[in-house]
This record gives sequence, C-alpha cells and structure tokens, in this order.
Amino acid sequence: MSLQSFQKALADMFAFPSLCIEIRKNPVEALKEYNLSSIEESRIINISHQRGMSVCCTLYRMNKISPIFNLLPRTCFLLGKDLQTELEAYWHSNRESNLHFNREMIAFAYYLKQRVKNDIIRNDYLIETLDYEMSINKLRYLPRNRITELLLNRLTIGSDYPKIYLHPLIKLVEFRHDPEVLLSMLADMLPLPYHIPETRCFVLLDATSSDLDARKINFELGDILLYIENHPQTSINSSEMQILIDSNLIIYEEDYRNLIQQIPALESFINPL
Amino acid sequence: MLSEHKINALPKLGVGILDNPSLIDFYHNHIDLLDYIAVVPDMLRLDRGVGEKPRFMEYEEWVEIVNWLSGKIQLIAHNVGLSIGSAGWFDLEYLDQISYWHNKYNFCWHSDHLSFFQIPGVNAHDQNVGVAAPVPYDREVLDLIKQRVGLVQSAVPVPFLLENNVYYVDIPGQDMSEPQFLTELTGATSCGILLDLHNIYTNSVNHGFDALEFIDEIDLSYVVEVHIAGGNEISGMYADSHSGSCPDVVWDMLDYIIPRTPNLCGITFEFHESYYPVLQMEGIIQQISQARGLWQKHCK
Repeated sequence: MSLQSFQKALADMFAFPSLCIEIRKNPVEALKEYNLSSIEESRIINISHQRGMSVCCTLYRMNKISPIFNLLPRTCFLLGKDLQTELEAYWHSNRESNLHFNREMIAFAYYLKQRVKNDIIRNDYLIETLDYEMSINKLRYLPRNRITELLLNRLTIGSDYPKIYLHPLIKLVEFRHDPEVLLSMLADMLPLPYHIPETRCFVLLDATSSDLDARKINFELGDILLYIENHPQTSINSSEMQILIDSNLIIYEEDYRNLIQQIPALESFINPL
Repeated sequence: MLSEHKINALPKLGVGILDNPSLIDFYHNHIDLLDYIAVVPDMLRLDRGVGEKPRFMEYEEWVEIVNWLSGKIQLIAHNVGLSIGSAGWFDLEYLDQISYWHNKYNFCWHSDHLSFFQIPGVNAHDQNVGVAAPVPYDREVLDLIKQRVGLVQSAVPVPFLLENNVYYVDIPGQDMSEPQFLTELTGATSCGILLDLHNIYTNSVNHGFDALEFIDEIDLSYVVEVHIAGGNEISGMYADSHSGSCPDVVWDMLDYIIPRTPNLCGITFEFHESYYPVLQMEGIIQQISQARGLWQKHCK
C-alpha cells in the first residue's frame, strides 16, 4: 500500500502544482491524506523542491490537453482566453479523468454543457460547435466497414408498423446559426465576436460512403430525423419512411438489434450526449 | 527461461522507424529504405477505459494501414500502456491485447516502458499520471516488475523488452542505480532491453552524469533494440520531445554502442508527428541513412 501511496502522491503533484507548493510549505499537513512511509515522505518532499517538477507539470498538461485539442479544436478556439480557466476547473472537478482520447473528449464535453446550462459559460455558438465536433468524432471512431458490411442485406420493407432508428453512420446536428457561415469563420480562425443572425437549421453528417459528407438540410427533414434520433423505436408515416429508407438515412429495428448484437459498443456511440 | 524468449536467436533486422500518423506518404514512397516498422498497437484501437464492456474497439482505418504494412515489411510492437511499474495495478485486459495483436501480426519482439503512468482510481476506473513516471529502483519494485515480466513472457511467445525511462525528477535514496536495476532485472527474467539512447542523453544532461559511463554499467548483451530521437528545451530542462533530428551526441553514442551489443537487432528512429513539418521527407531519409551507415559499419 505504501508504494501505491507514493505513486499516488507523485501523480497528484504532477497534476496539481498547487499540491507541490503546499508540500514545500507545510509537508505534514499536505501529505496527511497519503499513507507514506518515512522514506517515501522524505522522497516526495525532496522531489517537490526539484526543478524537474515544472517539466513534469508542463508535460502533464500537454498530454492532458492533446486529446481535447485534437478532437475539439473549434470548441477550444471558441473558448479563447477562457480555455485555460475552463480546463483547470474541469481537471479539478474530474480528478479521475484519464487520457483515453474518446473518454476524455466526452467527459470534457459533458462538463462544458453543464457550464453553459448553468449560465457560467455564455457563448452563443459553443453548444452547436461542440455538438458538431462530437458527432464527427463519434463517426470517426465507428467501425464503418463492419457496419456497412452488416447492413448489406438490411431490410428494405418492414412490418405493418415497423420501428425505426437513425442509420448509425448518420448524425444530425442542430444549429441555431447558419452552419456554413459559422464553420467557415471557425475554419478561418476569425476571433469573436461573430454577428451571425439566428436561424434554426440542421447539418447532416453522412459516413455511409468512404468519405464523411457534411451537408445542410432543410428543417422539415431535420425535424423528422431529429424526432427519430430522440425517439428511437419510433414509427412514422409510411411514405416518409420509405423515402428515408431508400435514402439510407434510417434502418429498421431488426437491423439495429442485429448490429448491436454484433457490435455491442455501438450503442454508446449512437446515443446522444 | 522459455526457449522462445532467447534474444540471441532473433533476426538482425537493421534500421526501422516508429510508426506515427504522418508517415503514410513516406511508407508509400520509401518503404524500401526501412528494414522494419515498430508499430504502436495502442494506435490501432480505441480504449474505452477499464470497466467498459467491451473495452477495446479497433480503428478500422489504422488496422487497414498496418494490414497493408504487414504484407510488405517486418513489424515489431512498441506498446505504451502496460504501466508495468504501477503498484496495486496490473492490467490483464491490456496484456490480452498485447497477445491479440502479436497473434495477428507475428511481431519478432515486443516492448514497453520501465515506468508507471497509471494508478488505480476510484469506481474501477484507472487514473492516468500524464507522464511516464519513474519507479524507485528499490528491491520491492524489482520484485514486483520481475513477477510481471514473467506474466508477460507467459502470455506472448516472443522476447519482451523494457525501455529505460526518461525522468525529470530524481528519486533520492534508492536501493540501486538504474544500470544495477536493469542488470538485476534482465539477469533474473531474461527480459531484453530496449535501450533508448536519447533518454540516456536527456537524463545525463538534466542530472549531470556521463552517458557513456552509464552505458558501460549495463549488461549490453540484453540490448535487442535501440531508440534514437531528438529533443528540445522545456521549462529550462532538456526534454525527450522527439522533435526531429538526433543530436550529434546521440549519433556518437550509437557509434559507441553498436560494436558492444552482440544481440542488437534493430535501430529505431522515432519522432513525434507534430514535428513532421520541421523534419519532412528529406529529413527522415537523412536520419534513416545515417543510422544505416552506422549499422553497416559495425554489423555488415
């Protein structure tokens, strides 16, 4: 247990420079939570004074920010000067986080959504940008070839009242501002403030072919697909349904169940955050 | 020792490169310059974290690339996630993954790092340390790692190598020096060494010792693979950042070590993909050629 405590104390010092400073100032108080032997305690105190601590803390931060910055670059850009503050607050609130790219991204996205919901972050473009990047990443991690292969012989005609799901390689992102304007400004890294008029529309992300396709769709179609996404196992007007089936946008429940059986992790990628 | 773990029976491969996402064009145009590629199996899958069912999902895109490479060139494995030095934590699911990828690609050998970077967290989730942290070179840790090397060797039927660590903080009052620890570990387990020359150089700069004296203290007959890389300065210290070309000192160390390592099978150049714009195709070719020159000088 003692070696484990030593490693925990060392890891915490890398993650929280404030702990390192506390150990330097008042080691007995700062280390009382750790079950350290006397030699381990003296080692930790010695290490807290070494110049290499600043390198370890820097590397820790570089490695922690990499998954978030790589997977959510537009979101990070929108946060601007608040990014560092938000990351520090996130790391403090989420000590158990790890460096698995997808898991770290989901945890940070969930944290940001709570901050927006609680009115701590006020940024008109953040949620739609975050949703857009999250959806792209979810599609990126999916086993596309395997899904396509399993759906090769999918049903084209369901029962009388078939239940339907959004195709797993389709994602729908709702925007409150014109996505073409917003995403183009972000691609050009133009700093805020933006003055994009509010308008409700949808972007359809389609990974059913080899390249990921993103296209703006009208809100009538968007509303139908959004309803299906939010109400899986739903059933809609049969003529609309046939069009959606033919367009490769939805699948029947039987095919969905078969996919989940073959690829159990799929459900966590399909469910919205 | 199991016969299949004999490092002196391994093929002398030559010069290779550590796989990274910026190398696709290089593979398409210059794969003939390489004798092998060290792939990182961790890049081939999404690890959804301890406790998740299923925990691992393959990245189709990467697996397709490595499938293509495996038909063209010899592959070896360099894992980054075993965290063999973690107290109270040994990831058997991860070990299964090492075995799975070996069975798929038939690696000549496989390696990981002599360090810890995960600790047990709460709710069955692992907590990442964020850097490859040094283990204390104490008897207690030696016994722990010896036991785990045995588990790895039982699971995967080709030699397992451990890479000497880079460290920026020094743990005072250790039972052994790093070379003594490596010598005892290899002697007791027949585990091979992946000797990272840039790690030794980095440590020698930051902690003030002679890199060649350090090398002389290691039993070099256990060295199977050598890593070479470049670095730069972070927060006032020299860092093993894999930032492009190897410094001259590392080439001198390589020239020194090759004739002293009877079981050396590969020299692997590694760089971080974010430095590709600095290094570019020509830079990679130059580093591989320079390594090949030294390999041919001593191993022809």
